[in-house]
Amino acid sequence: MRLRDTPEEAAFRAGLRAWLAEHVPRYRGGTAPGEWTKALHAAGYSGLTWPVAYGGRGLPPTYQGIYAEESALAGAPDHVNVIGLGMVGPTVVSHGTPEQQKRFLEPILSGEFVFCQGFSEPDAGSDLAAVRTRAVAAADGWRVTGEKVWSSYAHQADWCLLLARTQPGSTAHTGLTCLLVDMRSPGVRVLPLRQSTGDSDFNQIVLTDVPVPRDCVLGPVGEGWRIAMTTLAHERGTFGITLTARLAVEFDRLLRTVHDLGLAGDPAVRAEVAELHVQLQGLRWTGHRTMAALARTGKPGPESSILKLHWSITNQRLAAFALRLLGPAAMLHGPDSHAAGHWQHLRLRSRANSIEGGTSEILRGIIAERVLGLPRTR
Amino acid sequence: MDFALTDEQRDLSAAAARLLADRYPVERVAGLADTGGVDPDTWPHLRRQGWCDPELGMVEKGLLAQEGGYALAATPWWSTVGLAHPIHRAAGRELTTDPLTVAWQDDPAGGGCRAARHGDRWRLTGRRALVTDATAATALVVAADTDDGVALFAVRSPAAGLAVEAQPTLDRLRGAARLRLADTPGELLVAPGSAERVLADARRHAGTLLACEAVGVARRALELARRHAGDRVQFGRPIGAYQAVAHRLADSYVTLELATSLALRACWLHGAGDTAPAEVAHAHAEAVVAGRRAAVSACEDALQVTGGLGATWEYPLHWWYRRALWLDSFDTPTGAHLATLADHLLTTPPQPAGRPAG
Ligand SMILES: Cc1cc2nc3c(=O)[nH]c(=O)nc-3n(C[C@H](O)[C@H](O)[C@H](O)COP(=O)(O)OP(=O)(O)OC[C@H]3O[C@@H](n4cnc5c(N)ncnc54)[C@H](O)[C@@H]3O)c2cc1C
Repeated sequence: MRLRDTPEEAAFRAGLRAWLAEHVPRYRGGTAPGEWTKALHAAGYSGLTWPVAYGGRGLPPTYQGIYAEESALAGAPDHVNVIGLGMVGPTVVSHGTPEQQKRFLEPILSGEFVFCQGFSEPDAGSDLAAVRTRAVAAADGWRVTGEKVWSSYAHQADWCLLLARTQPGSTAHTGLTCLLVDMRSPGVRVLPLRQSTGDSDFNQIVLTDVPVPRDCVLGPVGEGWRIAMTTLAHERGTFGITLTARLAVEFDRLLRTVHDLGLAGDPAVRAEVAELHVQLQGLRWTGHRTMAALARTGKPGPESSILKLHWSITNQRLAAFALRLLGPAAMLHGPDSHAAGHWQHLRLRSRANSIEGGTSEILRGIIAERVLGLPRTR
Repeated sequence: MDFALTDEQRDLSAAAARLLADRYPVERVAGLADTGGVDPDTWPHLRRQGWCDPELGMVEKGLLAQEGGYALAATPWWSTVGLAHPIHRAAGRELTTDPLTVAWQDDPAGGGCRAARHGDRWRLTGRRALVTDATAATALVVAADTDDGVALFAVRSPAAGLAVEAQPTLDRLRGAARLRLADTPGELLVAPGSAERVLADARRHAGTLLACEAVGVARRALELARRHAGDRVQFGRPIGAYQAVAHRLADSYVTLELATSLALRACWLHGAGDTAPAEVAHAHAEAVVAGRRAAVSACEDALQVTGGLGATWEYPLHWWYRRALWLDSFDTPTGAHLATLADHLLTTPPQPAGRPAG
């Protein structure tokens, strides 16, 4: 056990911090898709843990953790290729053919291919195995028809990792296949959806007889469920560190708000601040334990399932507390409001934290069943 | 950074778990609680397994404390190794394997403890209360006021003028006693001036181990509940198949894991020589707050899941609950730990792109 950076890690952290300090502001707001990824790639900060053969740097997971912390602290943009780098890339590393690895991995790293994830459908959210979008075999590959929803960044994406039913009449986990779909193919329509915050970061994707060549099937035909689970494991596992690092930044902002409002001496405020800090520290160090397990075993340990679940609870608690601090001023939003409505926005946005990437109910079910070994719930 | 146990640490933990599982089957825990909570037989086994080794690292001690909480081991190990050893070490004494404890808390009924000097000898008069494991100890460290401030003294037990009266306790497996001292001979261990700091350090050392013990208590409560939820059938299904039950236990697990991380981290920082004292103090406060919460809530969740059975004297869960309540009330209150953290966090406004605190 060693809870400090090694000299190599410390040097990497210092270099990264200096680089971020110089480069982050240029990309704030209105970044073109992939722009930030390109900058990261050029500086050697993309694909830190990916194999060298695929353009990565082959570093241990710790370095990804350091990157997550430092980029959050520096206020680096929530770049659009988070799905490509964090989820699709690792899935292609595990399940792609050599040709696919050659074709997709470098461009994901360089920001040339921005990815979105087309799993959810109007009738298949928590019950993802209820996917109905169907892919029908054609001479040159597959033809896809159906509808996806809540696809983050689909409006800016070049490619979509899509889950479709390839075996007619199949149900549940069987007969599904993962496809890499070019978003510029004929028959793809992206309709932006507006979130409760007023932002439009997610979309509906309507697919009408979209051609998908045979070499764009990821993993074996009919085994899409297994492939999708790899993607979700990455979404829920390693991403936890990034989420926690961002939460730490929000917490610092909260401390500033407490001072700005002259509430630093209020005993009730002090108690809640300290409670939130303990929650956050618990998450932070559990994230580091998860990373150590990942480094040793190659897969996220059971602790990882709790990161996303508890992060959403803590983020929501923090946002709610911040608005309480504002008192009646919380009713305003926009330029007249404290910090231009940052807390109002976070309060609305954080409500989706316990929905996106698997709802809290689904995650509790996973913990109960797979970690605690309780009987399956229905 | 590498936040994982080494193979040696894992082995130590497993060996400790085996020893305690052997010595403390659930029926024995209940039996000991019913007969005053003292187990005179296990101490030599702990000694043999190295639980009192002066070279034991802080993470290793934390792992042993976890197992102690899990098994509810009725031994004075924590008061000896957790509380008394750091004081003996500071006093330059050799660490022995005698069961020891430390007495510093005032008797709520009134009356402190004073030490008076007679030539090169000291004599102590007054009272100390809430002294953990005092009836098992062969020697005590007693804090007493002198003309120059508080000092720490070694007092043999038994000794002339010393009365050790057991106080009835909520947690029957961790007894408390009141000491009455009347001109009792004591040997100066730590002089006024440094005694206060040495005592505070010892309490922090012991408190960090209690955070680990709390994690062990929570783990056992969750384990009892988990097993029950798999076995108990209602409406034709094991109750663990109902989400209201399963999700409660999942939350209990989450709280436990977060507390485990903080407890182990506090141990590591405590043991690392190069840590800033403030960092150790804050990590300690975080670990104690999270550990107490985890222990109490895991026991309460488990009590809910075990239904009427859990509400009986015979079902053993309440012994762990009692320990959790002891942990929740022992020494510095949770509110004071939170205040320490708030002082640290809110003294100055953070810089715009600040580092996360702690
Ligand atoms: C901001 C945001 C971004 C998203 N981005 C993407 C994306 O990029 N790609 C993508 O594919 N999807 C995306 N999603 C979709 C997300 O994964 C789904 O919304 C989520 O899995 C829940 O599905 P649902 O919305 O259909 O809700 P439902 O499944 O209808 O659930 C509604 C409620 O019922 C509860 N519930 C459902 N089943 C159970 C059960 N078995 N036990 C207990 N409770 C249950 C749920 O927990 C929830 O509270 C995004 C969602 C959001 C909010």
